[in-house]
Amino acid sequence: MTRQEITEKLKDIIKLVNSELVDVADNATENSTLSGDIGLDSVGMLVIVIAVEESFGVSFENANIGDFKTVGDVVDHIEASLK
Amino acid sequence: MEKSQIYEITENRFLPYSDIEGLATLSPCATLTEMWEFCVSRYADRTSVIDSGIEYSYADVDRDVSEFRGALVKVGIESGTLVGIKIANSYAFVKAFLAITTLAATAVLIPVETDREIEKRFIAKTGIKFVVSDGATLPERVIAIDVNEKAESAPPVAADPSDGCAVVFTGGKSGRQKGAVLSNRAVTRGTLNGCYGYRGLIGARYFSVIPFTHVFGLIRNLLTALYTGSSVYICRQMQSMFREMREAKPTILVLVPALLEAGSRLSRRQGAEYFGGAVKIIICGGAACPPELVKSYADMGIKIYFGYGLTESANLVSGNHMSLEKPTSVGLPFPGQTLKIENGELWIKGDNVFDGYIGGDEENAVAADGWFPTGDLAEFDDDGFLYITGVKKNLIVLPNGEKISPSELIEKFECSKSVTNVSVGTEEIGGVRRLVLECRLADGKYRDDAMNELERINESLPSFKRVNKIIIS
Repeated sequence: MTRQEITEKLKDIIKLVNSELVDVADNATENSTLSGDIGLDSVGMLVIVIAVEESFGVSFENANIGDFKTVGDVVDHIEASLK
Repeated sequence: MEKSQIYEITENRFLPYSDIEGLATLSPCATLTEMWEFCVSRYADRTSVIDSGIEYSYADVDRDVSEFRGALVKVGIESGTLVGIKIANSYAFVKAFLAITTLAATAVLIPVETDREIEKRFIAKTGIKFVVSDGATLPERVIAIDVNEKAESAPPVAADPSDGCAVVFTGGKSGRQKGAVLSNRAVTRGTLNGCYGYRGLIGARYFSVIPFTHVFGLIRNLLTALYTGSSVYICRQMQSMFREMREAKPTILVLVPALLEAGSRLSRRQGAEYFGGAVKIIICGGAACPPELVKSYADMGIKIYFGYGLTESANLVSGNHMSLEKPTSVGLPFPGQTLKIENGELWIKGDNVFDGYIGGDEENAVAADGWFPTGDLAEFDDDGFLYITGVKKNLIVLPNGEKISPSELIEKFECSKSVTNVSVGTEEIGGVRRLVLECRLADGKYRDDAMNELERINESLPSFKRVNKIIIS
């Protein structure tokens, strides 16, 4: 899976788990911050993490979720996990 | 002057909805020592705790508790000693808690994420000498006890119901962390209250994800499960909770609204199977439960029972078995309490009420006549159902149950010389509350520098206290 494909799938997950974020997710870039630009709070972040784990088949078990600040950070983790 | 309205709760209105046969098998207990002895004698071979793939029977737990009690006695711990526990949810926590309390000592529950300075001040203030841990970093001047220590078994010690059982951190009315002292009487009362209002009481399968250092996790999730011969599956990582639920197949869940919200969004395709397929009941507390969540779970065949309680009331004050019919009520008060509404504020009195805050912090503690002012505004309807109408105390309650003091946060951010007029509030996106910091750029300062400084301050806070958005005008 290319990085672009990972990013698009991640944006689809964000839209799926919170329909209020459709426009924000569509316009998001890798530099978009999860908390500020996307608007994810701790619940939203938990939902995204779980959905990403289930959808991509990757694990965040050894990751510190608090370190994920941007869309790009999450894509980095997914990309590294898929290798 | 508005009169007080007093409501003495003598009738147990939960009984028609309860598991009467199951309740009849429970031995009345007023101390943890009595309760645990009852559990072991009645449920010896049943599964008690499941952690990291290992199943421990009640007899297994009792053996390990007895040996760890021996280790505690060896270092001089005895009845009345304050003993800290700094361990995340695990079999080790359960063992430590039961060993300490069945020695008639008092377990001081230290959340593993506690800010180090706060922890250090708290330990100095309370004079705790011993802390049981599984390797966590501890302040100097405490005697660390490894939870894996063993010694020759020591027998349990009979406690008095009025003896301290647990000290639980809470923000109270001010949002500043204090340790609420819960007696054996209060903890066992809270445990019993969790047995009312639903069927399938004995031998249920519980799933734990709420920290045991929180009164909701400790009393409603852990102790009520043990008292009723149920098993407790310990989930150590929140992000794997739903996957582990599908393996554990719990019948009862204990969750805060934030986790209910997460489950509702993620389960859209699979429905009840997403939670393992066996869940019939979810006990919800810690914060207000949105009525639309109750409905979405009812559509999956899962009933949500939400209630109202405080650390200071050993968890439950009221419970709602009529959550669909009265979705904005927090239910009926449990028996054994007296409630009053004074100037709109709810006060409570009863066996479940705490003894005060440890370390001599008397702010908003229990009055001499036993009344405790909750800081919540409330009213009753004609059917006796309780409604929380507002918060007198100046706190923001987040969907995960955490209470944030805006004034405490403002004080932190005002350390920045780059901004003025700092305020903290909330905004809602998608029905979820987010913390927002608003401020003004100070004269002569640069916006980028100000933002960097505020973000650094934000990062230094415990994760649940961090603001989600910073606005500099």
